[in-house]
Amino acid sequence: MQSDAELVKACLNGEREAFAELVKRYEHPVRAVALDVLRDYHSAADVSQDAFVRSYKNLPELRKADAFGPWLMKITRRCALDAAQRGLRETALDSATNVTAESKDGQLDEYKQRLLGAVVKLPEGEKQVVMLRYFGGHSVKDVAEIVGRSVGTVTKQLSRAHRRLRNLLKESER
Amino acid sequence: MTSEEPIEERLENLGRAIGSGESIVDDVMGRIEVSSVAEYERRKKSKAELIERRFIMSRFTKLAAAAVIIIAVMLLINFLDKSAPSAYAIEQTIEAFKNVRFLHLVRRDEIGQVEDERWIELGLHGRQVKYRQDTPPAFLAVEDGKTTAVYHKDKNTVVLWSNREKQYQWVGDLGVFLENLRQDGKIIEENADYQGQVAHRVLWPMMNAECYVDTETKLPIAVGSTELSYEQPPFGTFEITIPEGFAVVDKRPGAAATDEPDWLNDLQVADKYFHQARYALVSGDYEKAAELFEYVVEKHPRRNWALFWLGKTYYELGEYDLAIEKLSKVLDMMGSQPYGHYARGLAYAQKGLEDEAKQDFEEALPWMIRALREPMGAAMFEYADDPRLREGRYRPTEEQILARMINRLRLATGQDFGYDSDASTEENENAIAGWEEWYETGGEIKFTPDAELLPVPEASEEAEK
Repeated sequence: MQSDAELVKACLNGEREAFAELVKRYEHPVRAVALDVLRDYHSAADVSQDAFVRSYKNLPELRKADAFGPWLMKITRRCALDAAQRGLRETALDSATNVTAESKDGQLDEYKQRLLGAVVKLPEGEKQVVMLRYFGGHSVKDVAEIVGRSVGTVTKQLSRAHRRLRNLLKESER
Repeated sequence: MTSEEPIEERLENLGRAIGSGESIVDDVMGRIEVSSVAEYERRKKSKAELIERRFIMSRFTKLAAAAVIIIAVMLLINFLDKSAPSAYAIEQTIEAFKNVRFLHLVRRDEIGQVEDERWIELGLHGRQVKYRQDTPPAFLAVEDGKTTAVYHKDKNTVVLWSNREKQYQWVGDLGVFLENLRQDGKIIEENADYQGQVAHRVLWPMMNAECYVDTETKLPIAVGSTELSYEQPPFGTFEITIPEGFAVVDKRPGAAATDEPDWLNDLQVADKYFHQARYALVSGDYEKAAELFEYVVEKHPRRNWALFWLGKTYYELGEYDLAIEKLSKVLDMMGSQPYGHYARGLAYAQKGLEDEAKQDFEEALPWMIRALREPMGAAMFEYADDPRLREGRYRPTEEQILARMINRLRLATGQDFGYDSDASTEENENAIAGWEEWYETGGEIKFTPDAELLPVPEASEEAEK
């Protein structure tokens, strides 16, 4: 599996399929970040598209190719906050009718929303591996290759993230 | 999903919920395709229009064609002239600055949005005469030469100060920075590429950054992540106006006494505390420093240096969780800064979080290693460690910076290549080469709190003001 850095370099060399691969890899993590801000599937799906298009246009500005994941998350968060300010939901409901909602009103249940809120609070490195592992559905080995770290490091990061999430959830449930 | 389920299971459930629905890959790629085609068509069209206009506008096509050929030849000569390596000297930049009247500075975030924009009018000897700083969303200050207006947008209030009493700046005294460029600046690469433009890449130590110098004007077009240009500002840039609905608090001498809002009083107290807190930190009174810095950041949440030194203070107090929290916030606000990563790396290391510490140290290491050859380039590490630099009350020498950088490296990595300020130049050269080789070959990083540290040379009387 190619690392993010390799795919970014390929994109910058004009290989558009490499960007499609990055979209596949990050579409669920990106949706998760948007969902955390907007709390609505439809709007999150629209914002996810905006975030990818914006990151594609700004790819030459990315200083470190291996920082693509965290950089994309920041762009997504910014797009989501902009959308929240614009009150995107009104228009999104008309335009995105094919997005499956978790529940009838297109929102996560309380437990999931709280867990998602805790995930986005994780330190950058841990957040990226958690999102790739659980939201992107990648194996630990694949995650290691994507982020360019060893399997051992990723395993440790995941285990620390689990511990941290348990604590964050405990705090929020108090 | 319940709180009793193992966290892995809960994450998997959440992942399934987020992943439900159609993939957006095709939509995204379609939008990229459309925007790329539209951009291509737009460029093609404007190029075609330009050519068409040239021919339609001139009734003397032959004459125009001749003119086009002449222009093309001139452009070619110009191009050949520019593409040949030019003999650039830093002195040319110092000289070019003498003719600068306006500075326009823009800093953008990762996605190109303006984070901070400043205009500066320079007077005699490069002194700042007028100033405007717009840091959205909250901060705006305008100085017209006599009055400094600070716009507190969240309070719908403008506070007017005498310019002598309150002044904002970009880098302080530009003359000092130019002198530093003249003395310690280094040309790294001539005719380098800067965002598609040919520019000379220069290390400007006091800026703690590389800058790109325009090959023609010899003026910097970028310093670190700040873009520079020198055009005349739009009309009214330095004019102080009061927006509708804003209250005015006039603090200038001679102004009629008015009741000051409590929040303004708090801000002034915070300014005073910021000064006291820095001295408490330097003199080792960490409890007091923490208390004062906490007050400052509560009143000025975006004062990044107060937050940074608060993080450092907590580190000194052994409150590593708080140190990590504050330093992480600073890194979020200021973007990736090597001295910030180094400081947070130490806190992670003290907590036993080796991976996090290593990641932070790896961010800082390129700068730390480079500083062994260019100590003045590490000025921001010094500033981060000693806030006295802020008021120019202390100026470290190259030897001091180098010794402290070696100590930071020994502490963070556990490596020691035998550098010693009493050793011969050759031995120390070997030690520096050892560090460089260790770094280039991805050597081991091991936090070593009991590493043997070099004695830092005493400051000379001249350096300690």
